[in-house]
Amino acid sequence: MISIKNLTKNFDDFTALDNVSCNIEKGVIYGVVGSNGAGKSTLLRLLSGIYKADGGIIEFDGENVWENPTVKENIVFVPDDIFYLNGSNLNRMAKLYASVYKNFDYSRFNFLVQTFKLDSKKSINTFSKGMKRQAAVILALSCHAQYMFFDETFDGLDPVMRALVKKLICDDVIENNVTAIMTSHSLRELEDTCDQLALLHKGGLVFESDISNLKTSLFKVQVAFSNDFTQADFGDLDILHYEKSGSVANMIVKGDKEITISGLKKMNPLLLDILPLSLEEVFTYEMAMLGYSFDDVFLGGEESEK
Amino acid sequence: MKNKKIFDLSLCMEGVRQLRVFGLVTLILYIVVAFLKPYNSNALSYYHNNWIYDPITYVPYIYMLFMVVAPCFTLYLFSFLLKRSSSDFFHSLPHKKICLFNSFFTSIVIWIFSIEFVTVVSNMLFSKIFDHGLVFKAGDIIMPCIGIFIASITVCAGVLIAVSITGNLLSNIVVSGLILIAPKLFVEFSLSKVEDLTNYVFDKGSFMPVLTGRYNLVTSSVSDYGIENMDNVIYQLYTFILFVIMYAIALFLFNKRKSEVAGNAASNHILQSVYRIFFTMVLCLIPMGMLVDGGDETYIISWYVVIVIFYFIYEIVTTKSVRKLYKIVPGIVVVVFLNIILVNGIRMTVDNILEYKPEVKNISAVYLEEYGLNGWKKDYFDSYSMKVADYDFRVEDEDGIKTVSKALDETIKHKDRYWAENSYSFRVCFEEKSGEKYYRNIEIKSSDVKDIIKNAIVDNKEYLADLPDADSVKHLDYTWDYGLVIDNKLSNDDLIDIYKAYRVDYAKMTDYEKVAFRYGFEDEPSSSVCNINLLLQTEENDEYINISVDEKMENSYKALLDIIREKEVVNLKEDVESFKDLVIQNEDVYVWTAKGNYIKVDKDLTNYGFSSAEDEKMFFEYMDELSEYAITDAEKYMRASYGQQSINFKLSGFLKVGDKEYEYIRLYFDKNDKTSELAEKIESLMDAAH
Repeated sequence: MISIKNLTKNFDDFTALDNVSCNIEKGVIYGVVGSNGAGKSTLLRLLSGIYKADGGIIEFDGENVWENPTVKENIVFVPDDIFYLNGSNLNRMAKLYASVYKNFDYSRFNFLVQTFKLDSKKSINTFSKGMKRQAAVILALSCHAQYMFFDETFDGLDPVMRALVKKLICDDVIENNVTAIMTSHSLRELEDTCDQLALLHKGGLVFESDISNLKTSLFKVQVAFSNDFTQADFGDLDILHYEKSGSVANMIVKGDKEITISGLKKMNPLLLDILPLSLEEVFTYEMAMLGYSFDDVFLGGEESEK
Repeated sequence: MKNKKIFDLSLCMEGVRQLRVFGLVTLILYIVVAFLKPYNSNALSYYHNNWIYDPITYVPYIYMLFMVVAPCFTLYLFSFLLKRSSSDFFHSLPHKKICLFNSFFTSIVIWIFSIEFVTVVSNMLFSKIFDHGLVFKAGDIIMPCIGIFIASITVCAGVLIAVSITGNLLSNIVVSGLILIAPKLFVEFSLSKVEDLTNYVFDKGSFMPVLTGRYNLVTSSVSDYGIENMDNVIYQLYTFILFVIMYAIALFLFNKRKSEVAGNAASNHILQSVYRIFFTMVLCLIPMGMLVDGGDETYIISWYVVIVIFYFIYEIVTTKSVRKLYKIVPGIVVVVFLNIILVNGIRMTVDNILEYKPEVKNISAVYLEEYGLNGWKKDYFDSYSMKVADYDFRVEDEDGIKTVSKALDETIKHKDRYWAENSYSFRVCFEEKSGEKYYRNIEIKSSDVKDIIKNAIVDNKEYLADLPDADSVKHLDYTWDYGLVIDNKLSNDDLIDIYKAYRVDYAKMTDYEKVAFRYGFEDEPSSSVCNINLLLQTEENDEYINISVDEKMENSYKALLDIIREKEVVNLKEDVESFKDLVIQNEDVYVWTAKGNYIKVDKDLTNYGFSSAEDEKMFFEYMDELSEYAITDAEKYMRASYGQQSINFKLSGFLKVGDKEYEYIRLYFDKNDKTSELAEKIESLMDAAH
């Protein structure tokens, strides 16, 4: 299990992670989402033992990761900006990985190279962005690490390769009880793959939850009445988004689900449904509540407040 | 359980693999170089007979191993620290940073050792094949190799400190230079300036060599002390200790280094300021030197303006940013402050040295070491004389010490810019009872010098050692300009006779005369007419001694004259019909005048270069007329050669006169109105011709 307690990381005056705490169980795929600069990559680098935390603790089964080769032997990290030796091919990189990871498995490496249909003798410099990512995944999966961290690994992969990578990671998690942590801006990918999800914003953890039951204060309500109605008729509710089509209204509401349902039932609706929120909707509205929205980008903070 | 490995063989071999291309290219280059020198010796049939092989001499550019190869390998292998992606990768590896550092450093060491070993062995092999004369001795091969190796790993350690505290290539290189060379530059600058401004009273060579890094093989190789100290055990030990210290610092800093520094010029703003200021201070050595020497203000200001520009350029290039340049302006104040401190520090040190005067009661001895600027230098003395007395007059009597001390007062009073008439300028060493030695350049009146020397030699006869017996002379040689003109040169027997007579003259001299004659303190010095070099055969080794015969050496001078009288001087009047005949007999004749004018004439009587046929005719007439006055008497000829009352012309071009050949002929003429007029006319013709 990975235990993160009050984790803080500063870069000069900038705080990349601020007092983050969470626990990641063994054998899960953990997704991390967040705005740009939220601290996702920094979190993975801290977990990989690349950065030293300025505060807090990261423990893998009770052991600190920083400068601890025993722990790091079981960690493999695929960053967004992947490193390859100058002019090297996959075989040369495999040699490098094999020299530092005791569990590097050449048979698995060869199998993966064939599966991804990459030429292991060809210079990686000639690979496309997607192929370079595939190569990095091959090398990472060949290490038989117990903890695998992927930073925006799906970006640049075509849908087929994306599915293959997802399958390989899931197989590893199921078969070998591996823990995988991945960040991505493609919320659909995470929604399909992850068991758990954390939302980071400005270095802080907004929420952490099972993907199947997102513990968020937001929910989506579909409601219809026999008489005409407007948003003003729901004055007691904290509505983040309201959209009416014909006599049916869809609302994103923040608050206690049970109290809201009971209040709406008292209004004798013809239709009252609580619909599941997609990960994208959760991300959008949770972030909007934190003041990070489309309006912010185009209109600036003041307009957003209005 | 925590993994505490500080070295990993797999990682080390990975480092070796990463350096493979550079390593092999370097190795091949060195093998080619190792082949070329012996091969060329063979091609030129130039064999170093009985020469002892040493790799510094026989492997050209072997010093490049530590000057270029070692830093390049280090910068390349540790270049992963410069990019975010590579830095993160290597920091994510399941090894401690210390382990990574040690393993990669070992990779560099393996390559350096391999290149050096293979190069030297192949060079020895090629030398054995092509250069038959060489002798191989293990000590002479291994010791310089150890020196080169230690210098190489020391350079690596210096570069490793730099890469641990910087994050891009330019700052890597600049800081490496600052660490390895800048301290030596500052020390050398300060000590040299103090030495110069104190007129060498302060001897930088004797100033705390441990602190000044004199024994540092890396810096000494590019400074005064040369690369020849590579086999010196003291230098090797000193440099190795330096390596250990630098390696420990590099290891500590590398362990503290953060991966996020990659790509940045420095790990923080303060360090960046330190590098920038340090870099600028190195540039400031030039105008600071001018300031200390009192140079032209315009040049000094221009230099400082250029340096300020470089100060900003350094920041822009290393940080790749022009924003916030205003923030580095206060650093200029620090640079100015450091300049003021250094320049004034040197001046104050110079003043302190020049104003120091040891108390007479504290002086145990004074040594008159050598003439200050235009007198004798120890190097001029022959090995025999040096062995006898080392040519330092040790003055221990109170009067002598007081006299020299009084002369020191004048020197201090005039801040060393003091030239007195009828005096000698000496470099003097005051030895204090504490053992401290203090040097000054002092003017001492000639009469005082006489008294000092007389007293100094009363109890000390080592300056008066007898000349060796003629039987112990193994070989004699002599130098005199007119030797070639006389048909029979001085034979070995002639020289032995002269030397025997010289010993008699020398034995007759008083103690003071002996010393004064040897050191040139004579009241009326005379020019020597013949310098004889003797090679003495001794049991231990050969010693050289020079003797100079002049008119005051009664017996030896007479012996020389007796010999000379029996010789003949070339006589153009009798041996050739006219000067034109002499020219016709020879291929080319060069006629040189005393003023340095010359003209070339050939046997076809062409190519004179005279401005007209009339001038050509006049030239031969004047030469014939002048030849009438040529001195042909050997004794007169010899006197004319060192006297002032003569005119001389030189004819060169391997001349044949009758059945004798001369490399050149120097003609001496008594100086009178006629000869002066003729010489002037010939000079005029030559001037017109040119």
